[in-house]
Amino acid sequence: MIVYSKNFQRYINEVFFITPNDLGNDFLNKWFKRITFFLKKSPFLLITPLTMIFVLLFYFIFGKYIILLTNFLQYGF
Amino acid sequence: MVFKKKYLIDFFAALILVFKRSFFLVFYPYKTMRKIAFEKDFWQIFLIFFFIFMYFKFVYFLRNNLYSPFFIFFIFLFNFFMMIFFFYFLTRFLGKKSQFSPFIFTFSYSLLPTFLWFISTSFLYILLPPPRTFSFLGQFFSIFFITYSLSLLFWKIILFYLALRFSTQLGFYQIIYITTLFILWFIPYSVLLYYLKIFRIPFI
Repeated sequence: MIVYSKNFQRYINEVFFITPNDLGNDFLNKWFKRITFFLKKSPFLLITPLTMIFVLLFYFIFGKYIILLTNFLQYGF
Repeated sequence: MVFKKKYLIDFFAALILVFKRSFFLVFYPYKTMRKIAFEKDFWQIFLIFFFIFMYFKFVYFLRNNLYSPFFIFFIFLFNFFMMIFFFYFLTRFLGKKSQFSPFIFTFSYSLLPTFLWFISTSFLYILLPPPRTFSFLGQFFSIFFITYSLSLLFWKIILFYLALRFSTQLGFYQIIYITTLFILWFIPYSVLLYYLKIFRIPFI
C-alpha cells in the first residue's frame, strides 16, 4: 500500500511539475490544447499524412525542383 | 570484481533504457520526455554520444571527409553544449531556477530524429547513390524521401519543443522567444560550418 502511495505521489509530482501553458485568452488556450492533444500521442498519425499532402502540393507547384532538393539533402549527411 | 559487475549492470540497464525511451518517443513523446527530464543516469548520455561517434566513424569511411571523426565529434559536442548553455543561461536570465541535468538529458534524447535521418540518408547514399534523375522513379523516390525527411523534421521540432518545455519550465511564448534568439545566431553559425565543410546539415 505504501509503495502504491509513493508511486502515485511520484507520478503526481511528475505530472504537475510544470504549470499548464497559458496563451493569454480562452480561445487560444482551447485551440492550443486541441492541436497539441494529437501531437502528444502518436504524432506520426497526424504528421505523415500532412507531410505527404504538403510534399505532393510542392511537387505539383514546383515540379522538378523537388529533385534538386533531394539531391542537396542526399549529399547533406 | 563486485565493482566491475555493478558497472556492467548499470551499463546494460542504461542500454535497455535508451532503446525503450527511443521507442516510446515515437509513440508517446510528451510522457516520455517528461520522464527523461527527471533522469539521473549518465550512462544513457554516454551511450547516445557513443552511437553518434560510431556514426561519424562510419561516415568517415563512406565519404572522403577532410576531417577525422574525432574532430567532427568534438565539433558536434561543442555545438551541443553551446546550445545547452545558451538555453540554460537564458532561462536563468528570465528568472527560472532550472537545474542543468534536465537540459543534458532532454536535449540528448531530442537528437534521436537527427541521428535516424543521418544514418538512413547514409545508407540510402550507398543503396541509391545521388544524383537523382528526372525519370519517373527518380521523382517517385524524391517525393518519398522529402516526405520522410519532413516527417522526421516535424518530430524533431516536437521533441525540441518538449526538451525546452521540460528543462526550462517556461511557457509557450517564452519558448518561442528563446528559440528565435537561438535561430538568430545558429543559422549564420551553420552556414559557417557548411563553408568549412564540417557539417553540410548541422547535426543538432
